[in-house]
This record gives sequence, C-alpha cells and structure tokens, in this order.
Amino acid sequence: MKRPELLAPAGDLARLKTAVHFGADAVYIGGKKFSLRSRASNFDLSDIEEGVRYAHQHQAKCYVTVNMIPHQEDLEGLEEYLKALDQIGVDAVIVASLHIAKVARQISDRMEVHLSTQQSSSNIETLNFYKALGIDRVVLARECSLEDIEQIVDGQTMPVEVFIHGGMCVNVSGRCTLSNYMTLRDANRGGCAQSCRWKYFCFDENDQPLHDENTLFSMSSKDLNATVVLSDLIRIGVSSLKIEGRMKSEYYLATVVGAYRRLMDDLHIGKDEQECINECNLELAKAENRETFGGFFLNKPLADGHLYDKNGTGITQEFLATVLSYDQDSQMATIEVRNHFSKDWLCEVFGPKTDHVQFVITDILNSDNILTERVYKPMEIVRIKIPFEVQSEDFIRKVRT
Amino acid sequence: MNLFVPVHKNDQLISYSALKVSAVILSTAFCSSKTQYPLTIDELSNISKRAAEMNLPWYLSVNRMILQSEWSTFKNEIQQIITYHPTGFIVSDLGVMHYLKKNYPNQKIVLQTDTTITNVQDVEILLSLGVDFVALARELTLNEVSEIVKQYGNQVLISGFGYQSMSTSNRPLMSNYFEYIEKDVEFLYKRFTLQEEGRMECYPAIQDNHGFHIFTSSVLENFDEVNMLERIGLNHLIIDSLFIDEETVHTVIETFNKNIPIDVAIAQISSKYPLSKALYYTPTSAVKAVSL
Repeated sequence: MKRPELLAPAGDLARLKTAVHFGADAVYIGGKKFSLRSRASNFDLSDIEEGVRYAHQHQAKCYVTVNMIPHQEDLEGLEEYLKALDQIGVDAVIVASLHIAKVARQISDRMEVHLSTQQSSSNIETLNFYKALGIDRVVLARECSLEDIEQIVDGQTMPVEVFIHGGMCVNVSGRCTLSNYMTLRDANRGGCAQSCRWKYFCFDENDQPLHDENTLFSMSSKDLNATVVLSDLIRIGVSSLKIEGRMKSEYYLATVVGAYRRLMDDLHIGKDEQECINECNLELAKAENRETFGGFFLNKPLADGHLYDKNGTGITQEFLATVLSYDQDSQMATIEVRNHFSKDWLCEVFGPKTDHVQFVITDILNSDNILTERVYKPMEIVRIKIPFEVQSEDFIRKVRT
Repeated sequence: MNLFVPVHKNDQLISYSALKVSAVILSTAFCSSKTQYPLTIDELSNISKRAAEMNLPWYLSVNRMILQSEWSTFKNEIQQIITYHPTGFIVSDLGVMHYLKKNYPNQKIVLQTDTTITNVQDVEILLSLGVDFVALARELTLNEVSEIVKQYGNQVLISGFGYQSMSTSNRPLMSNYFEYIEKDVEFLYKRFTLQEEGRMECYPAIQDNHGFHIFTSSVLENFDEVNMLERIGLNHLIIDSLFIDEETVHTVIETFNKNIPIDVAIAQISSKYPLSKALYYTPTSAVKAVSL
C-alpha cells in the first residue's frame, strides 16, 4: 500500500523547519502575493527559496499557496510571480482560480498545480473537469465523507488531498462572504474575519426570539481531528493528508505534525490501532486550543460539532523552550526560552527521536552563566540540566498536573 | 433585458409569462437549495408542461454541491427531469456543469457559484469550456462588474434584485442549535433572522435538507446600475425572489421591463424592504485583519 504524504502548514521559515524536522513529507506556505491568510507571516521570494532548499535538503516537498480568488486588480504580476516560483524549484502551487491554474500550467510542466479546497470539489466529475485543465491534484472539500472520498479515489482521476486536522470553515469554502458584508474584508482574498464564530440572536418569521439568552446562536465549528479515520484514509489511497494552520505556532506544529507522523508510522508497522489513536490524541491534546471532532468523515456534523458556549481559543503556555545542543558529560542542555519556567517544574522533552521523556528542572544557568531559580525572557539562551540525552531542535514543555 | 425568475406554482408561471420574463427557474428538494418551496417531481412535471404550452423557457436550479455519494441519485433525477425538456440548468458545482455539458450538450448551462467568478479571465475560461452564461460573484463592485460586462456582456448574468446569498453550509446549523438549547422548533424551509449581538443588521436565513444559508440584511436594488450595464452589453438578470412577496416581484419585473419608473418602484418597495446597493460601491479587500 502506498504511503500517503503528511502535509503540514508553515507561516514562516522557523515553522517550516519545525514541520519538516517533526516529520512532514511536505509543507505548504503562503507567499506575500496571491495568497489567503493575510494574518499569517507570509514568505517573500527569498524566504520561499530558502524554504524550498531546506525542504529539499531534508527530502521534503514545498508547496506555495496562490489560492486567492483574484479580482481584476489582483492579477497584475501573476505570471512573473509564478515564473519566479517555478525557477525557485517550488514543487507545487495550490490555486483556487481557474485562470491562475491555467497560467501556472502554461508556465511550467515541472511545477505541479494543486486545486485548493476553496473550490470545494466533492465529486469525480469535478476532478474530471480539472484534469482536463491540467490540474495535478485536488484538495477535496471538507464536506466529503469517507464514503465520498473512497468513491472519488476509486475513480482514479487524479491524486487527492484531504484535510485531517485543524480549523474548519463552517460554510462551504470559497462560497462564504459573511466577512465581506459584515466587515468589508474579502474572505476569498485573505481577509476573513471569522464572523461565523460570533454570537447571534435568532428570531422566527414573526420576529419572535428563539435564542437562549445564555447560549446565543453561533456557527463556530470545533476543529477537525481525523485520528479515528486515519487508517481508513490510508487504506482508501488518499495521496496527501493535510494539517490546517499556517497561522499556528511552532509548538503547535511540532506537536501535531509529530503526533500524526508517529500515528502514520505506527499504523504502517501494524501496531494496535486503538492504542495508537489514543496515544496520538493524548499528544494532540497538549497543543490544541479548540475542541475537536471528526468533521464530515463519518456523518454530517450535529450539535456536538459546534462551540456554542465558548470559542475555546485559549493559548496554551506549556511550550517552554527548544533545545540547541546537549553536553553529555555535564548533562547540560543549551536551550532557547519561549515561555517562563522555574526550578522544580516537571517537564517533558519531545522530538522526532526523543520519546516524550519527563524530568524535573533542577539546575538553571542563565545567559550570564549564573545559577537561577527562574527564567522569563523569551529567546534567552540558558542552560538546564536534563538527565538524559536530548537532540537539538527537540522541544521542552511543561507537564500538565 | 432577459429576466430569469424563480417560480413554484402555476399561477406565477402565468403571471410572469404575461409580464414577459425570459425564463423561469424551477427547484426540486434534491437538486436545489436556497428555496422555501421546492417542487416534487410531479409538480415540476406539471409546471414544465405549462411552461412548454406557453413557450416559456425554464431552467432547473442545481445550486448546490453534489457529493459523490449522492451522484447516482442526482443522475437518476436529471434523467427523469430531462424528459420534461428543460431549456437548461443553473448550476453551482463545476462537476455538475461538466457532467451536464458532456451528457446533455443541447442544454444551456448557467454557472452561478455566487462567489468565485471575479475577473475577466476566469469568465473567459468558463465560457470556453462550454458554460453558456456565467453569473458573476455577488461581492463585486459595479466597476468590476462593468469590466467583465464590457467584454462578455451577452454571456454574463448578475443578480438584479433580492436578498443576496452570503454563505452556505452543508451543516444543519439551525436544528443543531435548537438541539443544543433543547428547543423544539420547526425549521425546514422556515425563514429565520439572525442578528449579531453587537450589530443592528438582521440577516434572513433558511435551513433546507442540504444545509443552512444566510442572506444579506438588505435587498439589493440596482435598477439604475442595470440600465448603465445594459448600455455596455448586459443582457441577462436573475431576480432573487426568496423572501420577497409576489406583488414586489411583479413590480421589479415591470421596472426592469421599463413599464414602471424606477423612483415609483423604489418608493413602493422600500416601504416593505430595506434596500441597498450591496457591495456595488463598497469594495471589500484583503486588509490586514486584527487579531480576533
């Protein structure tokens, strides 16, 4: 059985490197132009070049989103931009506009053209249509069930990509202008204000209130989590399993990419599926900032697919530091601080080759090489004692107690 | 100006025909969304016969995504409906467009995705692939519409009037909410109104068998703008009549047919509905959003 690609997002070079380091087979990034997610710190061409180089050096692919739905004024410079991406060696562009797809195809035979989920493709005939236009891969609509996906893959039109984790548009992607009308931001050009996550009063035809004063109507969706169907998606033959979140943190990526990498690898070697899923979900829970559910894979989402009472957007503070180096003789790790921590905290190290090992912080040497009880300056380089070998680029987090 | 207007009963067919609409749009519960009155196949058969007797072209609305698992049902329904001799189909799924063009090449295809058709080049590609008419994205400004109309005026449609679709979800959002707050409310094809807790605007919404749909708080009225666009080549309009009373639809048709002065029509309609120019003069952009 062909193993699918694990495709991860990256909002900047640091996150790209993290995603690759933690096991992504491919990363997708946004350029400064023609891309959605205006809040993500998108890449300029030199960043893209460096990202592609880094990805290729680590046997990973790099895709660039060119997925805005362009108005006439947006199209200036498109051809030059796509040519530059091709010359840089970008493996694929992810597009939503037929015109952008056509130009990309004309410019390069080498660079693949992937059709974004913004076009909400959900049947074989749609794939046939895109194949005739020279599209190489389609990202299916998040509304597709496992049954839909299996039938589409069986149709063997072209490789398909499926979202497996992260935020979900509650509306059909690319067909929502709530943001346009409510905030004058064009969702299809990167300005989505997430009006769907707001609270609404609700009235009937006679303007009588129907809402519960304590729990107003909201369309806010829980995030997607596909762990329970991951083995099905692999069995079906989905080519690429995609994690959402170009705006997510380095820590989130390390945790989520690492968790899915491990799940995919463990399933491949035949480990007990339920055990693997449980482990994966335990790990994912350490990074999530919103509750998750199974999306449309098994059935149409009901009330348990929504967040009515809270938006669940609390940011976890558990990410403490990344490892820069480790000295085996002294057992001291040099680390870069991300969040404050103190002596006696119970922590955990995790990385592609470091297996979630816990330890208690006993010794901290600050950047002036002075023993201290607490560090709190982000990006400060300090040393702490870790009583086992760790690798550079491993992550350290606080263990929830 | 060729006017496309939805109908759901014989009476409307007769009156709209008398008002000289160019085509009517029929809906079924399976193929169509964003309607309060889908037809059964028998009803559709009857109305289509009457339309044929009146020489009135009719289009079937397939204005939703068709999932792969629904495809065989979709094909069966289309095979039956095709025997009623529709003039064409108004579709929003490119797969549906591709399938219909391949299998029923004599049928006219109107592609209406609501949002994604936003520039001359995309229109050009779609027309080259067999689409007969392209409905432009609803969020375009008048200037943007004009640019496209100048080049492909005879093959593009715009909405001439009505509440504009803002979003469509495949989830049953309203019944999900009632389930959550444990409230027993009839929801199918009913009109609801949503009001964001910090805003004054009220957005009409509807749940059907396919999901949940939200519309603009005000009714698009662009009589003057259509006159201007007509002069540069626009030939086709859709009247979005969802949530609009019959008398007003008549007024709108008569106005576009230049039988009622625009100011008289606006005076009549504005007493019943909040009117606006939608985003015709209010460009939306990809501004840097604040953290929400």
